[in-house]
Amino acid sequence: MARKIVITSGKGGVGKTTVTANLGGALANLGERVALIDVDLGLNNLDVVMGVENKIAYDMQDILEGRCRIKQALVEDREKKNLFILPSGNLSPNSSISGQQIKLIIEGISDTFDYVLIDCPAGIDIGFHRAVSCADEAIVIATPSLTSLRDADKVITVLKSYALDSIGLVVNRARGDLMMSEKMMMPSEIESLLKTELVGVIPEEDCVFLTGGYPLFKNSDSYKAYKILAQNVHKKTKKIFDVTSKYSGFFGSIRRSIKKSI
Amino acid sequence: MKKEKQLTRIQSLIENDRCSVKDDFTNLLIVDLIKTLKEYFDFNDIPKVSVERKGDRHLLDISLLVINAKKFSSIPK
Repeated sequence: MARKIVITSGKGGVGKTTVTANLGGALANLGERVALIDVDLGLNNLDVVMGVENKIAYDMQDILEGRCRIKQALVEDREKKNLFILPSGNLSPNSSISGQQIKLIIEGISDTFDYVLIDCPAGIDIGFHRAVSCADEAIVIATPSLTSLRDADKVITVLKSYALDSIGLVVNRARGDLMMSEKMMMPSEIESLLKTELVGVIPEEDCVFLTGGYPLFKNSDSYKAYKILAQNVHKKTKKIFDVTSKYSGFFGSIRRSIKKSI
Repeated sequence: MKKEKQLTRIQSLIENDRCSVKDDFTNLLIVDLIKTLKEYFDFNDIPKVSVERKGDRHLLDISLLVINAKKFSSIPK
């Protein structure tokens, strides 16, 4: 049976879809069979981030209306044979599709995959509940900004009422240079503030923008950070990528000065 | 904004959100608590009160260091 994990945040634009795609890719690199489900109805971008928008033949609506089987709608990743995406199509966010219907679709592929990652819409309205009701575990994405952290705390409060098996926290867009200059909160401080276990820290890097989010360059820090995140999720390890190491010491202070002047 | 300032601000924001009651509510509760507790205990501190949302319920946490409990006979009827 697949582990069903919803990727959520509360605030929009913090990187839910990018984390879903890259965590999926990193888990697939570990040899796991992974399905990514886009439950962000109406504002679906998972297919674009994965670069498979031109390969879509069927979507979630087609499955529900009996035009295809679930496995026909799954789109294989461009590189990884064990990574698939189920697109939602251009459905309205207020679509009548219920959490129960999506749950049935997920149950239908649960035996075929080791992981089902559910990309959740922003906010805590119907779309959020639709996505969370299909999951057993949750990963909350937050950036080190006040607005994102406030929304993450609200989301965590709502998630607790779902009695999920686990709720993990990923700090995205972490800037080691700003943390070393005491201008950005450290991931450990965010973890204690939100009272939620930190499972990953992803640095902010230009390559995320340049590649459209996925796949990342193999020598980039983000790639390494996602690899560690995938291991933490899969093997329940507690290793965290150190975004400050590059900016500490003599050479680190030079890097900080250069970054500051850019 | 410096990190310390950010932390103080977000802590206060989150505490208020979790609390779901206004400052006036907590202040009035503290005044009433002092009035009632003074009849049972001797203390110089102000009780620390927090109302935190826990799912669909709230957790009321009152913390106060007292010097001693008054003798039962001293409690006015």
